[in-house]
Amino acid sequence: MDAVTGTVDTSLVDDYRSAVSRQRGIDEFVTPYGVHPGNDDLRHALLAAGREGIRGASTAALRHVRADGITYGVSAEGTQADSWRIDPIPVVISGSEWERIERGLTQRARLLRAIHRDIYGPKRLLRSGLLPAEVVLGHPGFVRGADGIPPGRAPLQFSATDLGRDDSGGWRVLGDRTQAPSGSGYAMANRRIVSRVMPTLRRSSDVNRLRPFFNAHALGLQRLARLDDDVARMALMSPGPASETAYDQALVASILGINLVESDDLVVEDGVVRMRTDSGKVDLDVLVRRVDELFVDPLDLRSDSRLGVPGLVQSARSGHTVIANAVGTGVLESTALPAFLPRLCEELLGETLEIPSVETHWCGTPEGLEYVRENFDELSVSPVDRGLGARTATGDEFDAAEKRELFDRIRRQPWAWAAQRQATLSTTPVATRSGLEPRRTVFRAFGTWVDEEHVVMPGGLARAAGSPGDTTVRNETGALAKDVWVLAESETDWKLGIAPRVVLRQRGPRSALPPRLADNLFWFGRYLERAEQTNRLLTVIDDVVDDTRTGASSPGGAVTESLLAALETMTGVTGWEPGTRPHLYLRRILADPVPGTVASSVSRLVTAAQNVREVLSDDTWPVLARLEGLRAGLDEPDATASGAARQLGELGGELAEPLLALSGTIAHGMVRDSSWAFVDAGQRLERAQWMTRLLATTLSPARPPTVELLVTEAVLRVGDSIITHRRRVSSGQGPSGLIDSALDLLLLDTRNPRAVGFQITRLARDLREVGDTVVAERFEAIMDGAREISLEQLVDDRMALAGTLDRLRGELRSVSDDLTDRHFRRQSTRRSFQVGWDDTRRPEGGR
Amino acid sequence: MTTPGHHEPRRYLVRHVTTYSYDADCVAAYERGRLRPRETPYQQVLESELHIDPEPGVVTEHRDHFGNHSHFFEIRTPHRKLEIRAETTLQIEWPAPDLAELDEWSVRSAAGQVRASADPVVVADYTLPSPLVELDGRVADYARGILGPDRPLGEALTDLFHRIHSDFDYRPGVTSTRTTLPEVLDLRAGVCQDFAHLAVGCLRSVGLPGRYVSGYLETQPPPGQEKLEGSDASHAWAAVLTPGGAWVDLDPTNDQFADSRYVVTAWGRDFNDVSPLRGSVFGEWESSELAVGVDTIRLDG
Repeated sequence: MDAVTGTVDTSLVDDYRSAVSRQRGIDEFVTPYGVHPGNDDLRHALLAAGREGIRGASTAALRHVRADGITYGVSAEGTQADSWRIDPIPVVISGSEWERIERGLTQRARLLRAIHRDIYGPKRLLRSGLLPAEVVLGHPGFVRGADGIPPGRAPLQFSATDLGRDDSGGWRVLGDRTQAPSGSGYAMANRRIVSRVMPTLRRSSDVNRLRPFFNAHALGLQRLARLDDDVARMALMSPGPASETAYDQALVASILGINLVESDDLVVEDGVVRMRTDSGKVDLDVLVRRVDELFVDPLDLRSDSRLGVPGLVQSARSGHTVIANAVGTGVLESTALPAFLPRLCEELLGETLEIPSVETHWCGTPEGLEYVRENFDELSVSPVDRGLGARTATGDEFDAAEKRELFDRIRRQPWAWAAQRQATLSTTPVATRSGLEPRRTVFRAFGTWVDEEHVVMPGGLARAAGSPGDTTVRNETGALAKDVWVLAESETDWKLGIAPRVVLRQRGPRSALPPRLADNLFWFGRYLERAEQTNRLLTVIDDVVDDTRTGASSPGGAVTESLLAALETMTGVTGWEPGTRPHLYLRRILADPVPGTVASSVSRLVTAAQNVREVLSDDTWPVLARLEGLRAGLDEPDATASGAARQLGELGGELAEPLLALSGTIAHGMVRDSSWAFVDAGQRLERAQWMTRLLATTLSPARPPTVELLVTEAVLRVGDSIITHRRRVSSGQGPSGLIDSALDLLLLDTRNPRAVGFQITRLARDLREVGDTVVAERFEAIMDGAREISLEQLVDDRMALAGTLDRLRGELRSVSDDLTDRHFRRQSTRRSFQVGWDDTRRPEGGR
Repeated sequence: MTTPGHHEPRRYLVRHVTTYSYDADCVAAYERGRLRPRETPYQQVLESELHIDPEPGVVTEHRDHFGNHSHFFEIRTPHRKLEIRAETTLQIEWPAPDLAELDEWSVRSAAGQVRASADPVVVADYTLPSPLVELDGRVADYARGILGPDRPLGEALTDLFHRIHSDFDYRPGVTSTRTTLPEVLDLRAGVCQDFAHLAVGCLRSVGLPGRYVSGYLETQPPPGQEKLEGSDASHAWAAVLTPGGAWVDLDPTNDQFADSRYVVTAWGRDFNDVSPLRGSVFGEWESSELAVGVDTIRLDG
């Protein structure tokens, strides 16, 4: 029994223990009399934090998840994916316990690799009957198009294993993830957050770090290329930002230090998979595959896939580019396979399977089918590939008719079904509003190969059930992620200790950018600038409106009308009725979800950022989260005019700050490489076009002098140049006329960061940075032309001013098109053909 | 029915020309072809050539899961016309199946014997359903009336191609490369590909390994007319694994067992596994055309 230390209130843990004692199964934290080995520090930390501290940690974890933009799940067009849900209390596993798990996982990896090599090679296991041929050949993850690729070119490199601890205290494998395992990035994200919200505990515990595992992972991938004296060029192939685990993919790519690529970024040439970049194509030696295997190659696999690259499978077969994991590894996820692993382990490795799977019965033998029929209520049956749409449920959850129907389906194709006996999973403590609650928990462990050495991540991704009564853990029902701490108390980490530090160098151009990435970076810059400019204009107009409540016939009223007309032109959002109070219209420009508004630019900015997640710095995400939070707040508009006025004033100001902070992060935080140059070019081009247009709509129409004076002043305020103007006037520099000065400061100046001239000069520099002298020279030519402009003449001749600004806009648009065409060009349209019998013209769908 | 005289040795030249045409440049083409005929116990490949124009940057060949010749090629020369010409010279001597011997087995005993003695990989590949050979209850119902468990095997197999031939209309254009068996059963019509799929489905539903065979068949011009160039067609039929390990090929479209007029290119579970040519092509054309011409020319007759 634990000694009660001093006056500390131990009820938090005591209450938890009694909750645990009322349920079946074991708990990972407490024992009937104390805590499990290694959990003393956690106990002390929880008691020291108390109920309030734990609640606080929970809230803080949630805040960090939002700030870091950690998402999980599919995001519908235009909406945000769900945030990752995380519990702040780590699961602590002692070093000696982990050593056993690690040994078992390594054995399993060896076994699965041996099976993989056999079934895509000699198929001895199938021919001898050790593994029934239907188990493999009847599974859709057995990819015949990948059969016969030599094992060195078709690695089962990285795997994940779902583990649970049953009521006997033994570990059981619940499932293997071999096709394109996800979650190692989430494990890293959990670690970062839990370390931040439990800083004292983290510092006082000797926890194995996760980073060395990723170093080993990177090294293992490097070795797949079998380049003796060179560094392999690698990329991670993703289905794109709409994928359920897009965050995980981006984080893994960034930890491994490799490019995240999509279908459009890749092309097979001379049998080699190449990455398209703004500075030419780069051969890839290794492609880390996160696109589902049946979708990676429309030529050899599913012809309707938009996520694949034709020739990819052939490239692997020919030994040009290694795909990891190999296409065809999905068959090892069969829910029937565990029934045969003990025998296969004896046969292939001459060893006893160390971590048994959960009890599994394959329906494909008469005995198996009979057993499942007799024990239907206690088993949970599922299609062997889990993907056939049938729900996984225990037999007793069905009524008699459903049972009959299901069993009929099984009897028609028994080889396609397997049944498992659900284990009573162990529980872990989850922070709730009132303290700690035990929840059923599953653990996902990760392992990878470095040559012939298998390395297991010392930690992993635990998921606790969404509610106390749940006996299984599913993400759909709101599972909570938990960090897994493996204590470094023994020599368990020796493998990672000797794994050399890997410094990944990208061969070829250091910062090679796929066109899709460059495109998104560019638009990230443009939307950032568009949101900021629109917001500035809105704020200035709002002030003018507040200052001049004197009706349309007064000069003040005429100024308001001119500015509102300009706003309509600038944003393309129509609907202001001259003579009415403008607040509701202005609020629409702020909040409506239509193109041209601040809200819309912010959403597009966030989307663009998510598309380039792996190249943006960590500092970006909290700012984006604040922006997104403010934008979401705009969705509940106050319908009254006074409410609209208040929202405008408050939210406009609040939005300005993160927008400026984001520009600051880019200006001060990004390395000056081509990634930065594309963001900067986007910002500059947007600002140049925006300002040119603003000057054209506000200053080129002739107006009465008093109105013109006030409009020009407003424009100088939008251009943040009113103070410079006043200083120049008082010191006798620059033109003295207000409109002359405004045009001088905002159009031609190359030192004013708001002026068009400044943007064009910077654009030329950005384009040189990305190695494009052609477009750079075009910008320089525009600048040379602009220098010839005589402001005095234009001020006197507004038609000429309008014409000049119009021409400038046209030139900017033309160079912009050129830039888009040269740097962001997607591949040509792809189509698939299949020649049928006797016949002609049978184009299939496709892209 | 089997005609005496079609089992003697024959020599053929098969020319299979596929042409893609576009009204704008195709900038890249990736092709998977199963155009080179494989060797079989009854068929010897004397010469086989593949001509591709424009010339591909990469051509590779391997044996696929089913043992077929599988070609990959990659063309990145911009082109508006791509021609793929496969020319093969073969010697074929395809004896008639020994029906009396087959009749010693019932459908049920044959299925049991084959499953017990044949390579489990072959048995599983060709008895499980496949994407285009779905084994739903209706296929089984149709098969039951023909391949009854106690029926002598030779008689049952003969009835299989005969019944499909008489129950279904030959009607081009009503089905496609993606038509499934239930659709064919509804239509009561189709082309050789559909009939081959149905025969394969019937065989599998009674537990006999059935495979889809693609190839060619020499055709005769209508009496009194010259044979036109390119007027032959690729063809498809079914084969069944029989006790003793021999495959027996049967053609429901032409109501007969295969003989020396049948040229085998490839086999698999269904059309998808042996599709003569699949392409994935890049370009911005408005319209495209795909034309196939086949000549099966007898060299020794």
